[in-house]
Amino acid sequence: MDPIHRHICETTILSEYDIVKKDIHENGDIVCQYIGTFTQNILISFVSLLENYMNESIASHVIQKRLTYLVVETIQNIIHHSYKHPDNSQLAYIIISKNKIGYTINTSNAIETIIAPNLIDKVEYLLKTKKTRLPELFRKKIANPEINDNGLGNLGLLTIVSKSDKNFNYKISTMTSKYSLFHIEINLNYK
Amino acid sequence: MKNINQTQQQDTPEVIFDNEKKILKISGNSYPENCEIIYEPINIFLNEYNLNKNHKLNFEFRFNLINSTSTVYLAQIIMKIAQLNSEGLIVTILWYYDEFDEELLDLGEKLSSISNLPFTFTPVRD
Repeated sequence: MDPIHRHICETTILSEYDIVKKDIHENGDIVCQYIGTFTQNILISFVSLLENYMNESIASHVIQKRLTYLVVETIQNIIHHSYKHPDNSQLAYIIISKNKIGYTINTSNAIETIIAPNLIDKVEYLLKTKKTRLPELFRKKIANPEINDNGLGNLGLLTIVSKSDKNFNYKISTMTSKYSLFHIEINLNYK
Repeated sequence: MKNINQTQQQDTPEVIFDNEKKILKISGNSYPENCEIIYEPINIFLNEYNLNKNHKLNFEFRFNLINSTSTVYLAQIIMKIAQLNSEGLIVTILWYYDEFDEELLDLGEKLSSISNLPFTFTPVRD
């Protein structure tokens, strides 16, 4: 990514990060957030932070568990699929927030625009699939378990959409001619 | 027969084989950066398991948090166990899960269903 593209992308992500936080403050509170480069150590720290928070949360244990699963999958989605600079750095964020209805996970990361159509196809397919059919789809995938060349199971998106009960919104917006912003919002109701 | 022993870390499970009791135990979190490091030794262990000398093998799964890629690796292991079972190995599979973790119970039920292996499900209270 050349310096001009990098500047535009980082400005866009920072701007969106501020807008999302401002929206949250109007209706709820931030539980935890991170912006920067995502690594496995960041994921471990984030999960630990979330679990400590959950010990004091009044949400049901079932919802707490589901939220933790979703956070693991969304962060690993950023680690494995977000655009990274040659030095492995990136600018992406995750914000976990809560309001009267439930928890919300917001994530944003840069992707190469060239992969956007394939990503849209995958997400739209999952969103068009009936909620009751998603567990069966998952079952079929693990009945023929395949690992890709990068050592991944390719079940992250299906897991996220399924565990969120399809309370999953996404947006892919162009930042520059080569790079787009992939934004996910997941809502998890307390009940 | 090779032994197998991996210590638990925050994102990786403990894997222990008790040769005397013939129990393979996997417990803890499983959301590593590289699942192959955790699950490939188990695959190798199963591939090298000598059915002529050992007729029984027991499994205890006690996961806390498991990510989707670990699930795929685990499914491969379960299918391998099903294959050994069809070749004459007697297996028992105990699946422990947090009583509030519907996802983990559901995963165990799916793994049992795809492999046609009976799992014994036991909820655990913290």
